[in-house]
Amino acid sequence: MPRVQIVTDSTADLPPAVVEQFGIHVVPLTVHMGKEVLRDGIDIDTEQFLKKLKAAKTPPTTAAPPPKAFEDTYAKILREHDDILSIHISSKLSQTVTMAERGALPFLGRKRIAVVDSLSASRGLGYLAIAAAEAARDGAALDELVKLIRSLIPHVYLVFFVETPEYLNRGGRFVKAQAMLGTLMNIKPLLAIEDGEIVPLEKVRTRQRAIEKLCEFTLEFARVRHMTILHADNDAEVKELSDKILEQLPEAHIETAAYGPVLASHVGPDAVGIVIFEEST
Amino acid sequence: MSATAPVSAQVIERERPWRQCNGQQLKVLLQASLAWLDANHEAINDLNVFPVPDGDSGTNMLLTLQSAWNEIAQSPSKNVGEIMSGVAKGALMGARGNSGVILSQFLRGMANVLTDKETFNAAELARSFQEGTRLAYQGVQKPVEGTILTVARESAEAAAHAAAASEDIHYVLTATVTEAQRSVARTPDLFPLLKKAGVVDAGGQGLFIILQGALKFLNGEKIESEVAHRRSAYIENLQAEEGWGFDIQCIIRGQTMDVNAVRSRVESMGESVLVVGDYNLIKVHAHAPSPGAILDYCVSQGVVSKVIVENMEEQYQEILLGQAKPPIAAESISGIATVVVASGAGLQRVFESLGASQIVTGGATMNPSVQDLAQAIESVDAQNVIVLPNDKNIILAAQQACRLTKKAVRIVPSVTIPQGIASLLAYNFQADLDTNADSMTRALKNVETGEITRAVRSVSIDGLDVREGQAIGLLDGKLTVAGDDLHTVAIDILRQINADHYEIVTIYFGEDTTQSAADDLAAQIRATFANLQTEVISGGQPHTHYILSME
Repeated sequence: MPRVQIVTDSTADLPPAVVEQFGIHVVPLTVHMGKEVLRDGIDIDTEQFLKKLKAAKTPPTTAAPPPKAFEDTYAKILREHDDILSIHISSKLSQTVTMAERGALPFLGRKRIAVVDSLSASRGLGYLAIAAAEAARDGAALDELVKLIRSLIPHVYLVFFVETPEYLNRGGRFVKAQAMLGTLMNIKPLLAIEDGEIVPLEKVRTRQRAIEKLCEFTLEFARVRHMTILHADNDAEVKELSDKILEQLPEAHIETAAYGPVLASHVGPDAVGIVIFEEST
Repeated sequence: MSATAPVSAQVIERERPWRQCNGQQLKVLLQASLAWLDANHEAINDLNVFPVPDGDSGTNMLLTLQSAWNEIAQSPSKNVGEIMSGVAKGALMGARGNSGVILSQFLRGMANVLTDKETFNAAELARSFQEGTRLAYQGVQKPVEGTILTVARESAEAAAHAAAASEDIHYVLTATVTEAQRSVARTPDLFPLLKKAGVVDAGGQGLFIILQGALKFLNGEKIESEVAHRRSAYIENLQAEEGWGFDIQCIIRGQTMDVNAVRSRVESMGESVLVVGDYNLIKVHAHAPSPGAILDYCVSQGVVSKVIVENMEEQYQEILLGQAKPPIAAESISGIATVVVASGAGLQRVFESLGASQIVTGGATMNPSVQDLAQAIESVDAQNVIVLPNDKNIILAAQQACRLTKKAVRIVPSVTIPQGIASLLAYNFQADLDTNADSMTRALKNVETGEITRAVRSVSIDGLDVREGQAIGLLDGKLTVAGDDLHTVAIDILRQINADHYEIVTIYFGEDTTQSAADDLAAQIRATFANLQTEVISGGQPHTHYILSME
């Protein structure tokens, strides 16, 4: 068992098999639907959430896990271990990092818990968590791990387009992204997560061109360690994008993942994106 | 300006032969030129090759020369260098359209030769024409013969010949005008398009008229004209919706303004008046049933900038519809502002919604002046600016406007509205000025533009016979289809470009047509081209019934 245990949150969109393989601990965010409070990935999965998102009159919202959820997870781990690296969704998109820090307070001085802001989301966060778990398995100490992850963060890229800016608008939090909102035309904004924030890149008129843009973006990278196409139940476009990429990069290994409820509540049910984890050396 | 009195009521006291012309004498000649151009500008407008209203050369040259006149109208200077440098400055600021910009360059060249001179003689006049010609050619990237440039060059050569033979300015001017007229008559031989359309070059004719006005005056012929005070068409076209009126804001810069006087005057014209400031800067905010009177008054008080005119009924409707939240200006994120030329409330709103920082009202039928463009560039809150002219006849003015500012300006040479929109879509918030200018220029190729309108004159071009009033379709600016029905012509245009290979057609319908007609057209398009999506947007543009964007 590695000395340092890795904790992340459900927005990492890691499949259960990967979670098990790397021994990563996942704290669920919560989804609020009417009076119901559901745990992301446990009480509700992406598919169910998207159905509700499309159908619901009052759209569902998401919230960071309460500090208690982190405290409980940490307590359980710390019975057998001394060190935890807890890495989470960008603090500019969610309160999760703050909640994790509060959850870690009771252990201050007795055990070591490093809470790290990934400045990313979804598989971007997921790749960082996996990289941390691998390094921990290889025996890295906590301070080494923190350094390693900080150095990897700039190599994680997430670009996506949304069918409609409506969902980004609802959150009201993404000031920069709003530069492209309120448009009169049927526009698919292309957005990126940069320094933890959703920022506008450019705008296109059709999903077809948006897919081409995602492909162009991908082909700009000389050395890719991992890539994942993010989608919500949209197999046709996922195939189109991956075919386009494979045309140019026949050797590429392309993963796909459904983005979870938290991202879905921000970007809506019809977004498509790509996460690139670039070789750092 | 108001050249109200018949110009011939004045006389130039001069020696015969006339060897030296002073500043005041030059002024009177210029006034005569202006009056004669005013009397002829509509005829010049009619020398239009295409059966669509576009960049009226007569109006553009008149407004340019009028701006030149305004600069010196009050000047008592007898120094010809001073007068001419005022003329050049005024012409540059007021230059509109390609012919206006070229005229302003010509006047600038003249001013350069006459600088510091108390008077000019015949040889100096001829030299100033030659330098004017040189600068006019220089201002155009790809000079075309058979245009105003040729007329300027040949007239200047005639002036040089005459000046070698005589010291009499009157004689030199006579020779210049005679050659200008001949040169204009030859333009169709040099420029085939003119010949096909059966017209002479409008810009060249404008220059001839300007020179002829001065000569006619010297010959003692009567030139009567009343150049009316021209308001911008923009303001005239704004009509208040009942009940709400307009929200008007602007800033006036001056030297010795009286804030209290301005306030009480604005109060007499509007409601909710807020006037603050001091003797050199006043900010005005008022509500009024129509914006024209207040803005006219402000303009009379000093240099007006940051003009905001909003239709409050529209704002109210937007609030009702929950769309009131304005998009966040792009420049606050990227440090790069965009200045866009467009006319039609709908098109302007589209550009705003796409993050355009500043909209300059104008287009094919009303070319904005160099000053309008320069002010827009200055007014945006960024040091880096990208300009989208959206018309071939505005690019040159935009280039001149760049020279009046210290800001870093790039012009993306969009010549149609769909090109402008495609270009603005490619604006990348994360990229720097040059990268954006490059990618926005590349994006011009992402769309094809169709323009569907009615011919304003009968013409025969490229094997196409067009009757006045007939429906015509232009593909990327080129007259391609004529027919009796606007919608049939629109479908024909789409056939011409194999529209099945495109994904989406956006229809911007103009002020001369309706939403339901545009919806019908969209349905027709979808029925004809199974793979095409359509989107219908109210553009509100004048003259062009439908602008089609194919991408």
